[in-house]
Amino acid sequence: MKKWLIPGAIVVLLGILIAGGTFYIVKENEHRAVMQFGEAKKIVSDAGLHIKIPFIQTTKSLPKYQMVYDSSPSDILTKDQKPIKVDNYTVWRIKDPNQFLRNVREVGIAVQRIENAVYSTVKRKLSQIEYGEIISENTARGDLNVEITNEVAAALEQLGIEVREVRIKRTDLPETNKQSVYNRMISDRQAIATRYLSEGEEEKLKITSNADREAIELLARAESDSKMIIAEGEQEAAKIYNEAYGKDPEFYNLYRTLQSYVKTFEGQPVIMMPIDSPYTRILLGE
Amino acid sequence: MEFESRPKQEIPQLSPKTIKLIVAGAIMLLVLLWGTTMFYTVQEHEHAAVLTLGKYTKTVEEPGLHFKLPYPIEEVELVPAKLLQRMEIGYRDHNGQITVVEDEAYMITGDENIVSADAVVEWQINDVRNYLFNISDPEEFLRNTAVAAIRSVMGANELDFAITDGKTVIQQQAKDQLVETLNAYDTGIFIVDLKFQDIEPPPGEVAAAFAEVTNAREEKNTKINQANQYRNERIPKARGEAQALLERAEAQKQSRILNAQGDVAQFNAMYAEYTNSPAVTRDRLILETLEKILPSAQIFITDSGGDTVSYLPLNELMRKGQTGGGGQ
Repeated sequence: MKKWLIPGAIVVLLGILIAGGTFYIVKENEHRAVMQFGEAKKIVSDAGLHIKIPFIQTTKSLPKYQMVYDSSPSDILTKDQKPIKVDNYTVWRIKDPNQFLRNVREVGIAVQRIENAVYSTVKRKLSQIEYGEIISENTARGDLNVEITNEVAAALEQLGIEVREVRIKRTDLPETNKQSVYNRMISDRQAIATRYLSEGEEEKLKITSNADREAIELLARAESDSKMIIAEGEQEAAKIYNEAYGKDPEFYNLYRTLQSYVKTFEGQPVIMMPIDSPYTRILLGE
Repeated sequence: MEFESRPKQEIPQLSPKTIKLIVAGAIMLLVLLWGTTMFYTVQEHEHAAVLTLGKYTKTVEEPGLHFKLPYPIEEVELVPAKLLQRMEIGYRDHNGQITVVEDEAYMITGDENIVSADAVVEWQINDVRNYLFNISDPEEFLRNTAVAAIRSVMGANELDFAITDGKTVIQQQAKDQLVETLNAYDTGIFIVDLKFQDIEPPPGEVAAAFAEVTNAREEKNTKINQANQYRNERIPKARGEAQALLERAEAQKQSRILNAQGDVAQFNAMYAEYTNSPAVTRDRLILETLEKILPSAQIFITDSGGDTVSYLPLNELMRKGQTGGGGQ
């Protein structure tokens, strides 16, 4: 028993070592490059268990998944010489692991190459376009993204890198320009506020003066109408009087005179009468 | 460590049999530990991706205890796939403590103003395999894409539209753009919704200026209301006054006519009598009138020359005349 223990242990250990050097697992999200003395013998992209020559061959993992590289914001001058802060991100993946290993080797180095390509392309492209177009035109910005992506992709293609998209995430004004934009926004609003206030005054005057006018017109019309109505009454009355009194003007004269006497001699009138007047005679009972 | 060090110290006292037992026990324990890698639990909100020798083989959606081949043959990655997840853009909510992330929230509008916009993206993992293996950091990618989409849409709209009626339109546009961009990359992320919390002018001085506009607009409306109030008071009153004038005039007209009719009726009656016996009626009318006048009158009678005035005691005279008249 003891005789076998040590050789057995050695055999098992060796077995494990050899197995560990022979078998390797390729994960779902990686490529594995089988390296032999620094040379990439083959690239395995199928996930699962694979075999290599132990000790002589080693493996190197390369990401199969898409990666997002977030550039640090950079200041750029537009065509109309306005400073602008641009922040973009790049979606990329290793397309050809062989090429990638030959030219770049490490993801960290690839990121640096991407950074450089993106920065110079973005800077060049944006300096050909006016500020307003970069900011506002959705379509212009959309095209811009495509153009930049195409250029960066073309520049990095021979490195085995596929640039799927370079997208401008943010275009902002530098801090110093922000305050002037704020000031303009404030003055804009102040102008609008003033307009509202004077419009209020305007509407108020319009409404009140119109009300005044209507009221005055209403009263004037009513006054004129009422005068006409009164005149109609006068006319009607005159007609009635004329019809009646016209029948015998002489009698009317008497009748009316007598009536007016009653009014005229109200109170304590003093009456002078000639002695030979028929009324005196009546008075004196002669 | 303790487990190993203790038997070493006590080796001299132990019999080979005990050593064998300890070794066997250790092996048993290792096997047991290894055995536990044959089970995994899927929570109610999770899906599990099963990897066989590194290769994705299936997704387990059933919650509960599941069996797998032991490590390193099969591995399991758990993903909260049934969970509706929220991503805040422009701010972060740490247990109710809200902090604004200015770099995300402040953006330029199409008319070159600056606006502050907060949004929430609701998303779900709809493809576990893509989510796990097709992109380096899906959530970071989602954040970048969402920020870009929101900014791009905001850059195509004007400030006034964005902060007033445009919210839902901009929301829909941003969502569409986000979905479209995301779909191109097979990230395994499904966008349920993108909602803006606030789209408003930047706080501080600028927001105050905007508030000032709102106040001014309200003031305008107040002034209009006041003017309408004045009008509503003025016009009906004038209408009433006008009607009153008309009514008064109508009354005057009618009373004038009625008076005339009355006067005429009296006259006509008298005239009818007069035509029957003119002389008598005439005298009677005169006398009746005198009766009314004379009782209070002072009467002077002059002779025909007009120089001498004889004074008559009128009251007596009048009484005489009255009786005389009555006797007629």
